[in-house]
Amino acid sequence: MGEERVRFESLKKLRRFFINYSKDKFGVVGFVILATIAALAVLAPYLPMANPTILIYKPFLSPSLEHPMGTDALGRDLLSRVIWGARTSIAIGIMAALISFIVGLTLGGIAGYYGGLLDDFICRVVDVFLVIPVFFLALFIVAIYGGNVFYVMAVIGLLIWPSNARIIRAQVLTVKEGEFVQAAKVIGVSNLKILFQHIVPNSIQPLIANTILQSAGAMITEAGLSFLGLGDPNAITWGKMIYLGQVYVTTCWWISVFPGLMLLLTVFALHLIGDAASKIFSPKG
Amino acid sequence: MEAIVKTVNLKKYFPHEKTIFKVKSYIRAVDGVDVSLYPREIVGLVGESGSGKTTLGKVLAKLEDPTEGKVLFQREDVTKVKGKNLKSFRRKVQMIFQNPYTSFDPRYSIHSSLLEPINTHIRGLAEEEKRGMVHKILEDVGLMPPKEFLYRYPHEMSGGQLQRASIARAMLLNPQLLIADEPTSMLDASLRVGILNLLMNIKKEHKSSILFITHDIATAKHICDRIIVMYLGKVVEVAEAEELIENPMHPYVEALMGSVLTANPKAPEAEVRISGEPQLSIKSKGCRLAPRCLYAEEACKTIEPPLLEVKKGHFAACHKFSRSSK
Amino acid sequence: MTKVDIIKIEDLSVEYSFRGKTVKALSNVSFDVPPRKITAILGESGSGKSTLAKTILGVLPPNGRVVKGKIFFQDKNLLQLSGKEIQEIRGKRISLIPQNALNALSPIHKIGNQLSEVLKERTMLPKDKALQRVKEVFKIVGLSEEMVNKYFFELSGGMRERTLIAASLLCNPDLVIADEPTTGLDAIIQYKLLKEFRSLQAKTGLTMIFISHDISACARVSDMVAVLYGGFLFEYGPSGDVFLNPRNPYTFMLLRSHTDIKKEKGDIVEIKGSPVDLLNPPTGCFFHPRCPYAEAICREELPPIKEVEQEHFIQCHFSFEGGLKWKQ
Repeated sequence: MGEERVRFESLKKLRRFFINYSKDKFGVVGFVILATIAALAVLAPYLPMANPTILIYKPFLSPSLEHPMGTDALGRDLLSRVIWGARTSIAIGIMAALISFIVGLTLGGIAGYYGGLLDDFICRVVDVFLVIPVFFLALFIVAIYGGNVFYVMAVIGLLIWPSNARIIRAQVLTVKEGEFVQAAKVIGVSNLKILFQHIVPNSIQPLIANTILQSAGAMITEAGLSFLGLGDPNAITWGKMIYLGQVYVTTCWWISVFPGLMLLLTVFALHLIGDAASKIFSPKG
Repeated sequence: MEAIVKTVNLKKYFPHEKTIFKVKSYIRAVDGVDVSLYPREIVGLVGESGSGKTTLGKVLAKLEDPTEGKVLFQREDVTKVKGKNLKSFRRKVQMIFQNPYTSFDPRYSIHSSLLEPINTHIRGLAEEEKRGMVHKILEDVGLMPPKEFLYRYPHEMSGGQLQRASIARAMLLNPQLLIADEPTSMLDASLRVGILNLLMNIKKEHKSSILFITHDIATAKHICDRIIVMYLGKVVEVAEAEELIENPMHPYVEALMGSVLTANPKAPEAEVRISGEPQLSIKSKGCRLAPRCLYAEEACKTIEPPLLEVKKGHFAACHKFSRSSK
Repeated sequence: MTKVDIIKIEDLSVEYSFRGKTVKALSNVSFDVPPRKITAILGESGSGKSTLAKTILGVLPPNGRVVKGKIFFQDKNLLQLSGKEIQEIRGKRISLIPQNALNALSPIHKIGNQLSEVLKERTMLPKDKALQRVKEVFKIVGLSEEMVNKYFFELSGGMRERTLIAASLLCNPDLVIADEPTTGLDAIIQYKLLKEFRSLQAKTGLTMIFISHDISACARVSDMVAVLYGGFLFEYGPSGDVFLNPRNPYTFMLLRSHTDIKKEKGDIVEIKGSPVDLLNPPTGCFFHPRCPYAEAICREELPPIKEVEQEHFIQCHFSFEGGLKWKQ
């Protein structure tokens, strides 16, 4: 009976979050946009649209009823390419953000909790990373090692974790002085358990908002890499499509513009969501 | 009777002014303290802000490491204990804090918080056994029926109830010493008695000792067997509770007893022979009270008075007594 | 009431709206604050004592409202004054000594300047005269003149309290409301401060309201005391009468549970139950679930107000002639 109550309480917290969230109009708009795009991306294989890789249509068709976004240089239907592209682009955004979240959380949490030389060391590493321009380093690595999708995800994720680490470290420094941490110590709970079972759950909220924004940034970075011709030659991503269409932008503008618009819309939606989330998670009062 | 805890010249200093390379001065929170705690007694550790009582409590609970000196627990030197030995120490010495609301992780139900000590120290218990232990301790502390409180969250309990839960968590594994840091200071007057009665009951039923840290000597009177009074990091007087309150010997304790208010508008006013306010000692030698003490003489400013047994079981650290013993 | 009272509170009821529910913070409170005396308002948390202070000063938060009642200050009903009129009174005729927190005053300005700024604002005094007055008031509260150059955080707890007292006296108010002035201070400082409250009051003829949850402090400093519980005024009268011969069960039980230094060890009795939940209050008398003297009527009806002795009032269904059993 009681276990249900505990679950109910966590659901109540979630429900309260959704109620607060739904009061933020911009957040709701962002959520709707993202949900639509994500739904389209997930359902792509089942949607009644043209195959994105088959070159059966006439190239350079401008947008029409039959091809709402036109066709590209090789005669591929752009609408279906854009929707399939969503899968890759969003996946990269999410995965990179997730990697950044995990690495940032671990390193920031350890730095904040253990302090001392470990903290100093991690902070210096963070400082170094923050100085490096992410895009150029990503460019460099991808240029040398190849542009496989997973590579791109990993590289971006492993370059943007420092801001997460900083946020978590600051939170941990505050939370660890709290009396319930002292209480856990006095009970005999091990340091690692205290860190991950008590301190981190109480510190994590600002990190969620940051991670949402980071996924948007990761998508743009990937787009940038693809735009420069690096990036996975086999994958369909929006950046790649923009790259392929740039030569024709003065005449067949739709080839670059539509993927670009989709990217813009997705990033915009993510920012609205991230802002709404950070408003809810920020300290009361 | 053998003491369960004994401190030997215990010191805890905190850096005060420092440069990158070294520390220039320290705050001497605990400055050479020798105390003993015996089985089955409630000892009051009384002092004002800056006295070092909370710091001493934390060092005894091993939440802080001493700067110098030793802590002996059941004759073993636990000052530098680590690992498995530290864990077994933790089973024997527990602590509760002033604010019950910040003593619990707000995201854990009371049930989860109470399971923590069990899961940390005992392996291989079945779920029913654990539940049984939790139920029993909740009944022991007066949170009845236990089902009512198990699945609540800290913010859903009143201060008095939550402090009882805090005591429950500390007593689950039957520690020999419970350090209570101002457990009633944040509670309403009408709820304090409940907690005091509970602590006295715990001493009887669980056969533990309790170190009751407080700034309120009146509350200490009603629960403590012995009282230790601290001032600016040093122990100034130790005696049985009623003896100390009836016959204070140290000028600071004298002044304290004169200042304590009673709920009687017609009570006569006492004389309080002390001036000014305490100054956190950074570089003083001699008696810490000397700058304020109206009995002070030259020797008081340079020589620290030793803690002497002036009467049987009644100790005071004042030159008044070392002078007369010459 | 007799004499010219400084403040007359008549049948005051104040409510807060909280998450769609109504919380009755004060219910039908009536008492007087006699001039040149210290009246204590004694109550635990949730008793309504802060609400009372805020209502007198006209600083209730937006979700609070006065449902009924009057507060007369020198023949004017404070609750019916315009914003401008209240401005004239607040800080000048009625002033507040706020709770002694580190952020009661600005940390980046010297206290002398802060106080003289406030004084200039309220009275249009020129700068040098204002600083003069600040130094005067500092002397009255036992602070040396040099203190005007200190910063608030440099001061000890006792000195901070004195600074706040000084601030409240700047415009020579008729009434000073002190909100928990000794809470958090060490015993010896508290004792000295209370002595000075009394001597200050005797010297200047000030009228004071002393709000506190500290039973002994209220007993020692006040001439009259009002005991609040759950928004109800359960007992009001001269301190000597109320503390030594309480006639309301709550007061009696409160005093019995008090860990007083002069009591025998263990002569303290628990008040069973939990403090009033104002979001779900009991029916009838709010104290009845915890009252050992409660009977059926206490559960059904709100208790009436009675005068049990000259100027000694209680709100209770019973009168306990001859007083409740009290051991000193």
